[in-house]
Amino acid sequence: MAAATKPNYARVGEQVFKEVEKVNAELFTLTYGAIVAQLLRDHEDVEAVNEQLEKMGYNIGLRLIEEFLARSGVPRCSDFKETAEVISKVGFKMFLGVTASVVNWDPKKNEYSLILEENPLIDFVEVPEQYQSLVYSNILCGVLRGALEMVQMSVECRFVRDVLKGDDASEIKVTLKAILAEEVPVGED
Amino acid sequence: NTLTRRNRYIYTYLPPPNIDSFKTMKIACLAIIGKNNNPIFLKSYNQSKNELEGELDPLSHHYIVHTSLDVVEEKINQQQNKKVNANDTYLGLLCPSEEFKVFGYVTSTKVKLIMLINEFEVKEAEIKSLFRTFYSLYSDAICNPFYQHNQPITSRQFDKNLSNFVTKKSLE
Repeated sequence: MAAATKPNYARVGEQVFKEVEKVNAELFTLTYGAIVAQLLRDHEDVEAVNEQLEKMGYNIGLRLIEEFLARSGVPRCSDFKETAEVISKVGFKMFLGVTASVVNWDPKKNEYSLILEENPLIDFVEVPEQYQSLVYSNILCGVLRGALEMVQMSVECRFVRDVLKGDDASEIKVTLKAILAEEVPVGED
Repeated sequence: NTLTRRNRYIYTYLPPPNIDSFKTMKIACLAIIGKNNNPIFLKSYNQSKNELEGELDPLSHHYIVHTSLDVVEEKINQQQNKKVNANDTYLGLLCPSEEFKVFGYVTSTKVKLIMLINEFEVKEAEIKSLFRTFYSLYSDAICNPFYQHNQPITSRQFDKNLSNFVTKKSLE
């Protein structure tokens, strides 16, 4: 049973969640909502907004990974599949207070899906008709991309199912593009 | 004579008119009026299938809500004159019409919540608790970052939440 040698990430997640400082959920949701609404007012094109959200997330991810590693003390993962467990049980729990589940692991393509039953970013949100192609929580994709890049993994993340579009859960597909060699990262654009 | 007995049975099975049908919603109508007396939301819930009762159509609900706004104004002015320090004013019974009782509740943001109730015996505490739930559902709806303030609420989720609330309260 691999569980004996591998730490129980769900329990690690709960532990870290208990210790970390919390912020009021409504304030968080309303702040994010204000950002998205403002971006939509500033940019004409919804695709441009999706891209902006992803870029913002990327910048957050670059910094968030240090916080994560420092607070959680999770050791280096042995493979890409294990990073999925750590992200879903410890990462999401620590920063969003919810856990995600890992499904559809594909070893050939090195990809998996994260299923989010609950997403605090989208509480109370209903996207109007004219913004149907908006990926409201796209910031999460950026965060994953930025954070994983700092631990030498280049990934591609995108939403394949979205509660705001009528699905019963949100699903993020994470694909490993390359393992980066150990080198000083170039400046962000 | 079995035939007469069967007829009698069928005759008494039909509910006589003017008795509350179980399918009548206790909350007949919910309305939200903005600070400029602009309509934000109004929905009638009386979907009684009993054709024998004289059903008021939704338009008359609109009229009732409209006339009750005058009473709301009056009560707000009364309270200002008395320098009442209540934060959210529960306005109480606004005007008992023939079919309903109209209750009002105004918030510190000058948003008015109006409720048309179909029952004759209602306790004030119960109405207050109904308004609390109604208000919290409304505040959830306006937390939507895409909702423009003081505009009509078009959120389907809000509509669904209110329908569930009305159905639940009618079964109690």
